[in-house]
Amino acid sequence: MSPTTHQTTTAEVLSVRDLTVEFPDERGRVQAVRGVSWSLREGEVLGVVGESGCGKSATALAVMGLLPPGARMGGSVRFRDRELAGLGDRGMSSVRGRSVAMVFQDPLSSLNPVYSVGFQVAEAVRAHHPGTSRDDAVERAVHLLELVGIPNARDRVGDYPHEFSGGMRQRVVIAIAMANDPDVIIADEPTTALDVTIQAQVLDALRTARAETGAAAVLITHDLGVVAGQADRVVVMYAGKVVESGTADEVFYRPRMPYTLGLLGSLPRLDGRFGARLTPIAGTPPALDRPIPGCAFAPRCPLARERCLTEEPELREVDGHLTACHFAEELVDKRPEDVFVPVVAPVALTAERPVRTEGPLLRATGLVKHYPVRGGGFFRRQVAELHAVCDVSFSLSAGETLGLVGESGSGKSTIAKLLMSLEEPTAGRVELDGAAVRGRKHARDLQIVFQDPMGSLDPRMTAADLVAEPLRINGLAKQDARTRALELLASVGLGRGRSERYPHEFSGGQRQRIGIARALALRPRVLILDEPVSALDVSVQADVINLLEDLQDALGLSYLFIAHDLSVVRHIADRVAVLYLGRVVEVGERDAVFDHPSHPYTQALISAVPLPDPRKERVRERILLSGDVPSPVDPPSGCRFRTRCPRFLGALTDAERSLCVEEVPGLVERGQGHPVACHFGGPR
Amino acid sequence: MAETTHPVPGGPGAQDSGDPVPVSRARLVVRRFLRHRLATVSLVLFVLLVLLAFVGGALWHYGYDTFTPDNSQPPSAAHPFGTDATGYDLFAQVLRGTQRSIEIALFVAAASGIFGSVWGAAAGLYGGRVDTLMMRVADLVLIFPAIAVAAVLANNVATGGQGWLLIGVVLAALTWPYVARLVRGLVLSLREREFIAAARTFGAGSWRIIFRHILPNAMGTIVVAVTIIVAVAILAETALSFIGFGVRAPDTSLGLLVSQNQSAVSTRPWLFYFPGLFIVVIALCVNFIGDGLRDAFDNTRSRSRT
Amino acid sequence: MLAYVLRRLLHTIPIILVGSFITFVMVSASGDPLGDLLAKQPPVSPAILAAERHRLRLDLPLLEQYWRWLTGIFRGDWGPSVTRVDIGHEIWPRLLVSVRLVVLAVLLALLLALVVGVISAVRQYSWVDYLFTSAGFLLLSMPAFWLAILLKQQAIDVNEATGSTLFYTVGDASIPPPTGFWPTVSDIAGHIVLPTIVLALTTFAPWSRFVRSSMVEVQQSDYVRLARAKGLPRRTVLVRHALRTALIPLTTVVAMDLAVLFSGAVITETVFQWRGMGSFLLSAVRDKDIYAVMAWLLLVSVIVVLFNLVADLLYAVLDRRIRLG
Repeated sequence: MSPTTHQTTTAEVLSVRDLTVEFPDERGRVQAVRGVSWSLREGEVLGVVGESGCGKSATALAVMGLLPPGARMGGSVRFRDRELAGLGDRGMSSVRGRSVAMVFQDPLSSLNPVYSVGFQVAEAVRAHHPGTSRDDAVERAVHLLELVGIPNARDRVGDYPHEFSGGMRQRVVIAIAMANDPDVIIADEPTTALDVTIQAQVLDALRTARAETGAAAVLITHDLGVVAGQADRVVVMYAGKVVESGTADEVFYRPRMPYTLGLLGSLPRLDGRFGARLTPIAGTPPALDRPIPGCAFAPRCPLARERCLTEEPELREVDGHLTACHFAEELVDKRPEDVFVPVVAPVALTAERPVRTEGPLLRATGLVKHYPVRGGGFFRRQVAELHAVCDVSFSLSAGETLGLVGESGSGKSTIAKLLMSLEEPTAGRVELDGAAVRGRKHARDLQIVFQDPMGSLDPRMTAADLVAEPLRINGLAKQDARTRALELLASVGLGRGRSERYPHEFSGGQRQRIGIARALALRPRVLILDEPVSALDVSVQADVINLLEDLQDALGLSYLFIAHDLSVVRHIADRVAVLYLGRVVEVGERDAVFDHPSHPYTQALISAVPLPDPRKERVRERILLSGDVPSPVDPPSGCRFRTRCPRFLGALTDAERSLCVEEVPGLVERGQGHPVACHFGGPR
Repeated sequence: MAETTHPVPGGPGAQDSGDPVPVSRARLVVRRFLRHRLATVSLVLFVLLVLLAFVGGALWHYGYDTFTPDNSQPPSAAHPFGTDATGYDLFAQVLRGTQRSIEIALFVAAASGIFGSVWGAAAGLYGGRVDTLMMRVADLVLIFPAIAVAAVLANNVATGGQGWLLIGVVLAALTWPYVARLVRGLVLSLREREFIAAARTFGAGSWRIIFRHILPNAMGTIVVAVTIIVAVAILAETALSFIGFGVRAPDTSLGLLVSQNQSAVSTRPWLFYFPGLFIVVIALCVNFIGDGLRDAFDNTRSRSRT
Repeated sequence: MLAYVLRRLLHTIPIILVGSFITFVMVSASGDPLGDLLAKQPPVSPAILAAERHRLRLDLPLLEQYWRWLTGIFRGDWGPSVTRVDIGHEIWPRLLVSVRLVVLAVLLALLLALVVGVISAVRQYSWVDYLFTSAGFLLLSMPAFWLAILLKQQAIDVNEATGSTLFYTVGDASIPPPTGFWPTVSDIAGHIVLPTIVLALTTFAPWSRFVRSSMVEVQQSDYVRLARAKGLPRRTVLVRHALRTALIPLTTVVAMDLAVLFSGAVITETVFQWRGMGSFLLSAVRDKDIYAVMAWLLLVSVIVVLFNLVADLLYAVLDRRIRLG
């Protein structure tokens, strides 16, 4: 997307003025959007950023007239010279798709499962061109699907959504959005549900869609990196309001609202600044079920004073862009850590430090996990095997953090299950301190924190009971277990007042703290962290990462940190192992892997991660991988990455290619100082 | 849930929450149930009906089997529901019938609830071939129309004191597969939940997982299902008695009363309407209670938010 | 697909075999079919009793009785009846009468369920929704026989008031039946109206609740939102995207309820004094007529099983995500 910053001369296509949206709630009404104004100019990309619950999606739905029944909206939405608010459903349906099109977040549920994708694209074409014949509409659908990069589009129009991967389905949704040459495309978190290499592909398809239709775009996302790379102008939302807006450069390099600054500070980054402590924003966003008298951010703002609590700041111009802060001027030349003082978590655990051992503490050797796949035939015979994990070995020393990185299907969560004895490995062994881990024998030493803090806590137990449960199971008396549980809760920052609450009464970050406290209850030496922060908002995520770091320092824990987010791994890990389709493709010291990646997959992965830095994003060169991750049921022979490998598909000679096809590359050091599983590994 | 926070230095996220009263699940369920007005009214009415049938029946000055000198009397002060051709007091008979119906229905619900839950839970937990076999057996029962099997089974039920219990056993034998299927589905989905995996990682045994984690989480759904079975059993018992294979004279039940008096609809309508209305009211109450419970236990009620 | 059908059928056969054996044992244990004969005064001669016992195969061991019944089925021999009628000859016309009723009732119930369910879902929380919901609960709590008698009485009152036979309230057809094709059809139609209404009314309530809730759910789905975002008119979205998808699971629900419908048919037929499967079953049970009961159960359970299979296949055809297996 050409980020030539359009100046105010171009005309407005879409504008929103004083928009309010209310939803009914069990206890009354929730003010999801509390007076939002922005405008979108011809041909530009407007990024709308904010954390969950800030009202960014509600704004989009209000623009489209797609709010759920019961929701109330106020204010004005103008498309060119036409007022859309109050247009009614019939009037809106002539606008939807033709003037303003929309792409939704979850590609897996956006398409109707019982119609072919061709039908669903053609339907969009015919919605505004009723004269189009069925065949012409399908023809146009094929063309659109080709444009967004569906391979063999002509053969695949008759396929059903479940026969496509998530990334491919999102392309279909984008094709639908393009169908009627709209003037505006609203994309609501279009890549949030996707892996990072797929995200790059989908952002590319969106760019194609804009180029083809000449549409302006509203890109709604929580990901500052995506915004930095795609948006010309940025609107930051908090608690149903716009708190800052300006060009991407203005907002990223000269934030004049403490919230924006805080967001930037709590973001782990792939480039620079790693190792430094993150500066989270304390607390969580306010509930919107009652009016907020002052600045909604005030309760979490280090700069807040009396005036902020009583007087609501209006959007005003400071240093060339708009901000809603009474004290914006104080932020000139301030870095996040100057404003948001990093706090030390109250770790009070005096657990005995684990005995330092010679050699690795945890060692996995040749782990293999296959799942049977049964056929639908007469006897339901096992017809194939799903190769989830294939010959994976690694080791973890005391006090060390090993990052296990991979996209969906890489087998990283299966590895966690194998380590925890939740699944039996098909082959290979896991050793702790030189002794084989089998069954529950090492339950005390090896503990796990799950990705979904809500799902991993029994909804019918209080925080104290949850943390006490492992202790009770392992023979501690009720009262002792309780005392210790309260101690543990306090050490993760959950004070006594809240120990008797149920999981649903906590926020996401607090729930994950309960999960961590529970994992620590048995004084483990190794903690397996399975995507522990990926379900959390940025500001909360930073908080949990800091807590994990503090706990590691205080207790000398070893972490196996499993994640798909490279930035987080770069921030927290000492060493990194990169997984692709169940195999380790590259492993080494963190900086070695990130700064000198030798495997083409690692290189593509790193290049696909968007940086929250507009200038860097503009000049960055992406390695776009083609296609999807192959099915683990029938993985490619030889090197599993070859079907998508830019080297294999590009520079290699036929003789070299046949090596990739025939021989599985071993993990060998190839002049970069760390092992890599590529026959032709090396710098880009 | 949502918190309001103050900038307290000293701990990330360590702030106190805005609403201070922790709400236990049980209380939440009761509160939600009471908000369902029809369900609350139905519960009160149902309790009153039970009291009327069991206590009132004992106090009423006519027994269900007492001959009175009045034949075919329309409702009056002496006989609020009138009398039949033989001189039985219909009010006494309806109370007796209600008592029988409720006894049978509650027995059926309890028996099929317990048996079905254990069966379904076992199938879901063991999985594999055991599961397939156990669910086949459950399907087996569902293939045959209940009324036919019940008629066959109940045909040789001796009349007399314990007859109702046998009818209860027969109906329970026909309804448990519904509970079993439901519980199996629940267990299968709960088993995949992460908190079960979490419990296993710190060494929780099967029994602990079943009784501490799976059962409490499945309870709501089971309670709702069992309530619905109460309503189903009431209708099934009356239908069975109606076709002559349920409760038999000299004992009586609401279905039998309707059956005995169906030819009197136009001549002595009270004989037909009162027992029928009692069936409808009882079943309606139970169905509404079930609906209220469903709402009360359902915490997936989506709240539209961004 | 074919492999799936075969596997399903093969899985079903043991179920029906085991089921029929259990019922055979149960029916045999439910009393002596010769009870009435034994109780006769003056006593029947032992020779006659023995002959009857032999005719009804009661002199054979239970397993052999079952085996002879089972093998007999394949030769079209349904076994001896206490009442000396030919079971096969008797049951088929009655099955036709009952299936006619059940099929019509299913169609009417489906229609009601759709109309009521869709209107309630589209006008969620409106007075129509509440009205339909309350009516649904009332019908759900109404014993079929009571409703049947009530309707029958109303029909008789109407007939008396108008002085002509607008509604037929007794039997499944006139006796003797009218001659000619159209008179027969209209005669049957006239008799079937009330029972169909009773059976449909007591069946459709849960179905309409199901339609309502799945419509409500589907209407909140992402793909309905996307369909609206395309600019499709509301009605198109409702019918093409919401209704079609919401209806697919209904096939399973209906199939599951088929056994229940046959139960309902037994009751309804009793009230309207039909010569259908209902009275066949009831008199067979009363007479402890083992082979008649077995014939009834076998036919109905096979119908139920086949219908469930058809429903599953239909589901897979309508929703391509379902891979049979």
